[in-house]
Amino acid sequence: MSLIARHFEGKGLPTLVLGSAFDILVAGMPPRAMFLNYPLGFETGRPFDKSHQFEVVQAALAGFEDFERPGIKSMPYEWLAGWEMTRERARLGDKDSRSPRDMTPRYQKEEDRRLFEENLKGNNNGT
Amino acid sequence: MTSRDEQKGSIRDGDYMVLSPKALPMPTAYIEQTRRQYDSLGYPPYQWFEAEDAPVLTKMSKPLSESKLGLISTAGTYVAGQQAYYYKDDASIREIPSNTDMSDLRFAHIMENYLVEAWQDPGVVFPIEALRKLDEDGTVGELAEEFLACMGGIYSQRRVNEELIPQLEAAVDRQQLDLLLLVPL
Repeated sequence: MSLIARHFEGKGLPTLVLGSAFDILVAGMPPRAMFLNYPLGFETGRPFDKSHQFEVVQAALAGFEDFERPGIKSMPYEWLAGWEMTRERARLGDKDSRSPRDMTPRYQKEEDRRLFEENLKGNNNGT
Repeated sequence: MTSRDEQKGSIRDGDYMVLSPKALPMPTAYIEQTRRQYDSLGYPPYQWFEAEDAPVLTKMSKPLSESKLGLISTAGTYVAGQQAYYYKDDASIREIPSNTDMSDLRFAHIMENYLVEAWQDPGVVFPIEALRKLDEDGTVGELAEEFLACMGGIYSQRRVNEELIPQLEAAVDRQQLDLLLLVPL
């Protein structure tokens, strides 16, 4: 993502990354980054908490007007649900319960496959 | 955010500022964790992008409240009815209309064990509702007609540069954005 941010910034479009992997941000040095110290998968806030998600995104966007030189700033939010989840997900990753890395589209829901194939058919018929 | 919430961390380059979080726990070391994991699985190592120098900073042409804002997500976001991503270096993009209903948002990404909550509440990684609200209350001037998404787990940086970025760029140029928010998974 840092590569993409640096590309657009270099073309004259101001960018801001909102991310939760500190070491990956430090390695990539994006022009403006707001670091949210949450587990991966919650970059824009806690689940089922719309007002918190709004607050996180609002605070992150304020960062656009708050950088005088490129860098990474840390947001003042703390993940209170514990970090066991992150360790457990790393362990699951070790067992490789994940789908194979091939060129089969991985639909979240089976009905999504049907919907896409119907759309494709519709387009091919010129409708 | 105030400076009280931050403390000065390491500055790896005089031209680049890194403010580490003050609150424990220390940030997870994902690069090391992923390296270990992929090694034990026999996967080729994933090479994160490492910048060699500090980036340029482009000045904003107008305040946030007058700016047109775009979004790029690398969480593998798609809309029901679009084709899902595949897991082997998929460098395609999806245009997600910024008025899409939350219930129509889907995710497919090689890090699928990190998507368990996003599959139930897309707002944890794809802030479409928060951005619409910030548009409505005037914090943001205007939203892009289409937000953009791709699947971030691409091994080949050549493919990122030669395939992914040109597609994103064409879509961004069409929309004449003033600012771009990027949310990685």
